[in-house]
Amino acid sequence: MSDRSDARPPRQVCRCEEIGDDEIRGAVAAGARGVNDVKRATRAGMGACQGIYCVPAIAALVAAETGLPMERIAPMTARPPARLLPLERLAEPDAPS
Amino acid sequence: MGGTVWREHGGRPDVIVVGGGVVGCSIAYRLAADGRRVLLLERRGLAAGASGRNGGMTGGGSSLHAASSVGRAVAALTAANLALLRAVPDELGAEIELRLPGTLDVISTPEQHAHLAAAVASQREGGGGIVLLDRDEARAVMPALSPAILGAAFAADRGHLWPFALVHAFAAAARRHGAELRIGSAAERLLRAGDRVVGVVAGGERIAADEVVLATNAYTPALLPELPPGAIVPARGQILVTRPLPPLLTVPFGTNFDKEYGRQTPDGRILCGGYRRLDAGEGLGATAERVSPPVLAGIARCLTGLFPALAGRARVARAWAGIMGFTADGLPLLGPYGPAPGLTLAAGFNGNGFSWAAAAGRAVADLLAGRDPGLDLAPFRPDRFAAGGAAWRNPYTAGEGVGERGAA
Ligand SMILES: Cc1cc2nc3c(=O)[nH]c(=O)nc-3n(C[C@H](O)[C@H](O)[C@H](O)COP(=O)(O)OP(=O)(O)OC[C@H]3O[C@@H](n4cnc5c(N)ncnc54)[C@H](O)[C@@H]3O)c2cc1C
Repeated sequence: MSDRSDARPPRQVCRCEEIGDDEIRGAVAAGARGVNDVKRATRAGMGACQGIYCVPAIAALVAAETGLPMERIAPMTARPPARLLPLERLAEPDAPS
Repeated sequence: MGGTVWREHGGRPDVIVVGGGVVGCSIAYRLAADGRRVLLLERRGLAAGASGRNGGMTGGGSSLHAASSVGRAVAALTAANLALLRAVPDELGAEIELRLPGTLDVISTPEQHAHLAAAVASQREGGGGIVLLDRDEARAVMPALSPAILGAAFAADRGHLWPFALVHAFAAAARRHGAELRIGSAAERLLRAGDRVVGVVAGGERIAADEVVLATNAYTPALLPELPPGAIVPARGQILVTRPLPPLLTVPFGTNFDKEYGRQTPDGRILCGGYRRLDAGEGLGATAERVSPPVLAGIARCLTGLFPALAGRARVARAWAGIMGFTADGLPLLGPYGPAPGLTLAAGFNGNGFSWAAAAGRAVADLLAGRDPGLDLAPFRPDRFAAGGAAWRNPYTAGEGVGERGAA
């Protein structure tokens, strides 16, 4: 995706989805301006941790690549449920939301 | 990457495309490949709307319009789309995870059986690759299906893809051909000279162009208030997704008149959506991208009911909501908007954007270039609804009650 010629090997930013910083830089080069944009382009932050570990790192990368201040980097939308829920538990009539 | 040279030289765009979903990006790509100077305006992000929140099923969308000139036009649009999707990896150098193993429309009630038997008969007259299977035949295709099902309709040439990847493939290709994709820029209103549309106002700036294309799906009425009420209505859909599981769903499925649907992604996650009718009177007309517990519970029950093996194994990782643009008759609004020369609509893709968007992009480029799109677009004429209100007969909301549609 990115055509940067850095010799450095990519660093894994999102462990759940195995997305490296190279892919995130590529997404920014392709127009991503926030954590949600990066997520849509790469799946980073969509894994089991739901972004708890990687979102700050993604936001920092976007800020570094774009020169935008951190507070301008739109945060990621939380997607319920935040904890893994057994499917059959959700199917119960009084299931938690 | 090719630059937007036309802009650096102070030029103005030939065409403004509003909307950076799959439809807008598909159109921007084809127009730019035709040599047009394209400016695409997207107010949120690429694929931030329905195009980034959908189920990723493709190839369907015709079974509810069977056996008529309309049904044939929908089938032709769907087939043209599929041919373009198959070409994407070579043409655009992008991996979109397109898998076309066919789909099963699972039958759980006698009513569904009667409907599908009739639909299969009429589609077969039209040469569609659909066959009715009994329970054992259906379970031979997908052994994880419950023995309680009554059967299924198998449709060839259908399957699923990775929606984000397709949107980004079109967007990247549009950029390579010199299109400018302006993200975070909202079109506030159309610029008019008499009846004619001559550009848009965005961020207070008046941007003139020869042509304007609205690919704003559910949000189109805000830019085109003269669209008859009910022509395009927002409809909230919800999806849940599990953690990866071993392969269980051999093919994507639909059930209950395609109101519930799901698939297993190549990396093992099971996605399932539907049950809009449990959205507490909000599904139709809602624009808040918010999930609601009754809908998610319904979706979960659909999965555990059809696939008993999921109970005790599947864990729900996430759920989300997205807003579709439903139309009064279930068909997209695609083509020049008669009352306003200079304006083309490509909106109202219902639950089928990924069965139609690639073909819609090419059709719009053909129309603007004066080429014959080679498709019967008459059923999709954007000005087909009478002023004063569009009678609601959307097949995807059959049985849900007109009163719920939330339109004025
Ligand atoms: C839960 C769910 C499941 C679905 N499942 C499937 C499926 O399995 N298969 C399938 O084919 N389809 C499915 N769909 C439908 C499919 O997602 C849509 O048909 C398709 O994405 C429509 O694409 P679009 O580009 O027209 O609309 P959108 O993706 O909604 O794009 C419209 C864009 O326009 C932008 N916009 C709006 N107004 C303005 C403005 N004034 N200025 C600038 N930008 C503006 C929006 O921000 C948005 O990005 C599903 C949809 C949902 C919500």
